[in-house]
Amino acid sequence: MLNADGGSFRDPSGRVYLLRGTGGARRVVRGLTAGTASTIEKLLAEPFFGRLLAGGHVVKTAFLSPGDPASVAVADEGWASAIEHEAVPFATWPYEWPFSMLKDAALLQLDLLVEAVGNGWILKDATPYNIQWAGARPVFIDIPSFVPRENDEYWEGYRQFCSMYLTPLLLTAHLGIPYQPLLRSSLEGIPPEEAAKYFHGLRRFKRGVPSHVWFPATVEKRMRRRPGTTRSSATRRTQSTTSLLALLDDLKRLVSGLKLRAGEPSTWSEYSETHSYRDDDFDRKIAFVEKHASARRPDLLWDLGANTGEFSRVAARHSGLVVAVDSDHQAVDALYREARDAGDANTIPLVMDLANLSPGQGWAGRERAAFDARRSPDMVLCLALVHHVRVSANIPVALFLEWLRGLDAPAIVEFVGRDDEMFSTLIQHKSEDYADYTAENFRAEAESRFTVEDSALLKGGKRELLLLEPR
Amino acid sequence: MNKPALIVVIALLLAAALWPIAALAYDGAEAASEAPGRVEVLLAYIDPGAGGFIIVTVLGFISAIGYMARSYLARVKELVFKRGGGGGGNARPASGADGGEDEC
Repeated sequence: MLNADGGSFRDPSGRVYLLRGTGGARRVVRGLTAGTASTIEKLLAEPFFGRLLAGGHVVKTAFLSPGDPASVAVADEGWASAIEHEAVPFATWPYEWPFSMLKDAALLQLDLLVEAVGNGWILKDATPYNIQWAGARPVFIDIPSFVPRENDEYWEGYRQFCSMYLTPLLLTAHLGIPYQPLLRSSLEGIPPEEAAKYFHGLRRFKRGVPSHVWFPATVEKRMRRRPGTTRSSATRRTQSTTSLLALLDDLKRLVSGLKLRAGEPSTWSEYSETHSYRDDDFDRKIAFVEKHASARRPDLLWDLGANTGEFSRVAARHSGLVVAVDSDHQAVDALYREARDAGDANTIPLVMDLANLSPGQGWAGRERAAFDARRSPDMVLCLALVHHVRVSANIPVALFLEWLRGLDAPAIVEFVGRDDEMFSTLIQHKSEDYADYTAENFRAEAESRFTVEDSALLKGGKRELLLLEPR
Repeated sequence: MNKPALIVVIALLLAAALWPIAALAYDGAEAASEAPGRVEVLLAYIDPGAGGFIIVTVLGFISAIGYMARSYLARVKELVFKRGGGGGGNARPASGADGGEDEC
């Protein structure tokens, strides 16, 4: 049975469908119009595209044979032809990516465009929603974006590239403003005129701002104020290949040079050196995670409150994919860079406030699925997380456990007791008592929803690790 | 240096020197132009990318100048190194444009 992907309806050249193959394997097929199918046939025959496929820069793609049941189902939907893409293990959105992920995605987008332009093709858009992650490696997934470049047409995707990649990166690199909330609230990115308002006064002279923020904003404003300057469809808008490649080279150099503002170390970015465990407690915690992850070998594991991913790495040894989530941008960025440099193929780090998970967004709330509606995890880690959820986010223990139970997966939870020094630090400026936050109440609430299958005490009993199995 | 090249260089230097003043003056002009009562075309009927072609053309032209300058500079460096007897023993790989990312 075909399920139309909620985020694939804007491009009339095709539509993505999700279905289950033999053995329940997830399959991703795309119905195509006859014209687009012919273009993709030519694209697949191009040596440059073969290199991109072989390098894993674009998603593995092949035409479906006419006898394939999926092909028949797609034809029934009115499409002339169908291709199959390798399934992405877990979809993520740019407003969940740390700085270095967005930067690497931007560089991939530019590299693909350089390759395409050098071979007589172009990418008709430039949105990070066309990029997904195979672990810590970006993969371009929207194959119909490649179209032949006819009559030296200019790069129409430039504005989109700036709004969705470059401006967010510039905001964080130059001003220290996190782009995630901005991209989450505006799925089309940050338009030039809005971006220019951040870079006022002498800030507009920061690298890349005069040319890619201030100048476009000025031109757009001028165009808006001149009624009658409408585009004639008969007008040819061309740009020489040299000029386009030079612009792309300029953008690549600019993006490559952008760095996440270091500033003060964030709360969790130096976790491996600053955590409060003695070595034997830390080893016991690692052993507990290792024991249960290796016993269950989850296909998808969520590490919620992962900080720099000490335990994500342990779990990743026994999991198909680990999605490591934390709200600390610097910690998640460090985790991504480490995973990328190690060539890690099964860890995706994401920046997200766990008390405010990514909701369903876009048209009818279905274009960009909510974090917990994309794919159910097979196992969850919540290590030293519950006290933050209770005290910092003010979420009652019962509500948190109710949500956790809703995931219908075994969970390893580390409960930090009230006598732990980290809990004392957390509540020192709070007037509320958080009366429901006790070891006894936590156990009672947990046992009403889960079976406690295993447990271990840490730090002389101040903390407890629990393996919770849904009832 | 021939005459046209000299004119271009002087024009670029002047533009670089006057840029901050022009930009700050622009702030003032912007504020004045935002005054109430100004008639604007309804935003909903304007292509948000209006002007995209102009922007890409101008930026592409400027980038091309820099691109060519860099390639000439690279050639000059290559000549100097060759003359200096380096023999390319310490040469960087040609494909290193985007390699060795300078991550923080």
